[in-house]
Amino acid sequence: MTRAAWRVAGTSIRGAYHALNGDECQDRHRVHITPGGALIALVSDGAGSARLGGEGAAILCEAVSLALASVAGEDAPAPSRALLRRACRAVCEGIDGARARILDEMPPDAGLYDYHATLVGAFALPGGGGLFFHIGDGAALAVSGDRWLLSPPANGEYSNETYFFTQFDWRRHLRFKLIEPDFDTIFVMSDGVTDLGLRQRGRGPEPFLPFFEPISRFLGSTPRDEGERALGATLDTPAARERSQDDKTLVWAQAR
Amino acid sequence: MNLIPDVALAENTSQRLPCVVVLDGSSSMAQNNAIGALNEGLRLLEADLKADDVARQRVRILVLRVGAPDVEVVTDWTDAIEFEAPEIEANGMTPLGAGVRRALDEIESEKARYRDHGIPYNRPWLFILTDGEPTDPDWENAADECRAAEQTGHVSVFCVGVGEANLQKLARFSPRQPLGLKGLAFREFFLWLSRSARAGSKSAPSENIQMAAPSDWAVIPGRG
Repeated sequence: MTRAAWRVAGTSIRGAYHALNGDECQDRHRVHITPGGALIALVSDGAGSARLGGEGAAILCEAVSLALASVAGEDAPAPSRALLRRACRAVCEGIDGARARILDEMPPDAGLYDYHATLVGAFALPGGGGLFFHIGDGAALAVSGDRWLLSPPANGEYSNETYFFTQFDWRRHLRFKLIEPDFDTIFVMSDGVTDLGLRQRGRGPEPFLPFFEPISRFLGSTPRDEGERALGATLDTPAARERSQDDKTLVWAQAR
Repeated sequence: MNLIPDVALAENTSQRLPCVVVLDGSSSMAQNNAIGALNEGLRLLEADLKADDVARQRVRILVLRVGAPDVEVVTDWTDAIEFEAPEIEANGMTPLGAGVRRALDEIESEKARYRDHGIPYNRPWLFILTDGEPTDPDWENAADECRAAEQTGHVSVFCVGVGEANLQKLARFSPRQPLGLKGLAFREFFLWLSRSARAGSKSAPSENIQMAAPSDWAVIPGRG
C-alpha cells in the first residue's frame, strides 16, 4: 500500500464574523495518510465564544491524528473489528492527551473552557471501511454513488449551543459510526459547511448531494493545490457567505 | 479565482432567535420623558436589526407592555425584517409578575411552533425593563418561575432597571445580576441587544451565553 491509496484535499476559510472583527479562523483540519494507506481526516471548530478555541482545535487535531496513526502502524493494516476497536480507544486517548497537554501548558488565568472546540473525523482503509468519530456539530459523510452515510451534527435543543472536547462530560457526547467497506468517498466538515451542504428533513439532516457531487468530481480530476484554491473560493462566494457567517472547513478524500 | 462548477447550495430555514421584551409602561415612565427615550430606542432597534443580513432573518420579536390595563401585546411575534417599533404609553401600575408569566408562556408556545415546523432555534432571550418595582400581588411566584426557567435552560433572562428601579426585587427574576441603565441610554441598550443577536458564536449548553460587555449603557449595581 502506498500514499496513492487516497486522493485528498481540504481547506479552512475564515467566516464573515471573524473577518469583521479581525479575528483569525478558528477552524482547523488535518489529513494524514499512513504509510500503510489508512486515511485519518479531522476537522475541529474552535468555539467563537472561547478565547483560545483555535488553539484548542489545533492541539486536538494533532493529538488525535498521532494516536490514530500509531494504531494504523507502518504497514497496511487489515480491516477488522479489532482494528476499529483500537481506533476507538485511540480517539479517546488522543482527546485525553489533548486535554492533558492544555492543562499542562495553559496560562494561569485560563481554563479548559477557553479552548472549547468540536471534533469530527474519519479513520478509514481504502475499500475496507472504517469509522466516524464526533463531538458536537459539523458532520462527516461517506458517499458511494447515490448511497450515503452521515454522522450528523449534535446540538441539543438550541442551535447556538453544542458540545466540546473540553467539557468534563465529553465522553458522553463522543459518538462513533461504522463506515461500511463499499463507500469510496469521504467528506468531513465544520458547521459553516453543514449550513451549505445539509438539508433539514423530517427525520433529521440529510446531505444535499448536488452540493457534494460536483466538488468530488472536480477535486478528483484536479491537482491538489488548484483544487484546494477552488474549494476555498467556492465556500466563500457571496451566496455561501449569506447562508453562513461561520468559518468553513471541508476535507475530501477518495479511495483510488 | 476559479470556482468549482455546478455546486448547488442547500436551501435551509434560517435558525431563529426568539426575543421577548417586557417593557414598563406605567405612569412613572412619563417622568423626565423616559418613555420618549424608550420609544426612540425601539425605533433604533428596528433600524439596526433590519440593517443586518443575518439579524433580520434570525431574530423573532415579541414586545409586551405592562401598565394599564394590565399586560398588553404591543408587537406580536414578528420577524425582525417586518418589525415596526411600537409606541409605548406611560399609564397605570407595573404588573411585572403577570407580564413575565405571559412572556414565559409565549416563549414555550413559540418554541413548540418551531419544533412543529422543523425550524432550528437559539436559546430564547427575555429582557425585563422597569423604572420601579412589581405592583401585582403574585409577582414573587412569577419571579420564582422566571428564575427556574432560566436555571432549567428554557430562557436567558436579563433584567434592566431604569432610574430609581428596585434592583433588589428585579434580582428575584434571574440568577443573572440586574443592570442599571445609565441615565436614559435606551439607544445604547437596544443597539447592544441588536449587535448581540448577530454574533454567531457557539457556547456549551451548561454555560451562560456570551454577550458583548454592556459597558456603554449599563451601571453595575454597587459600583455606581
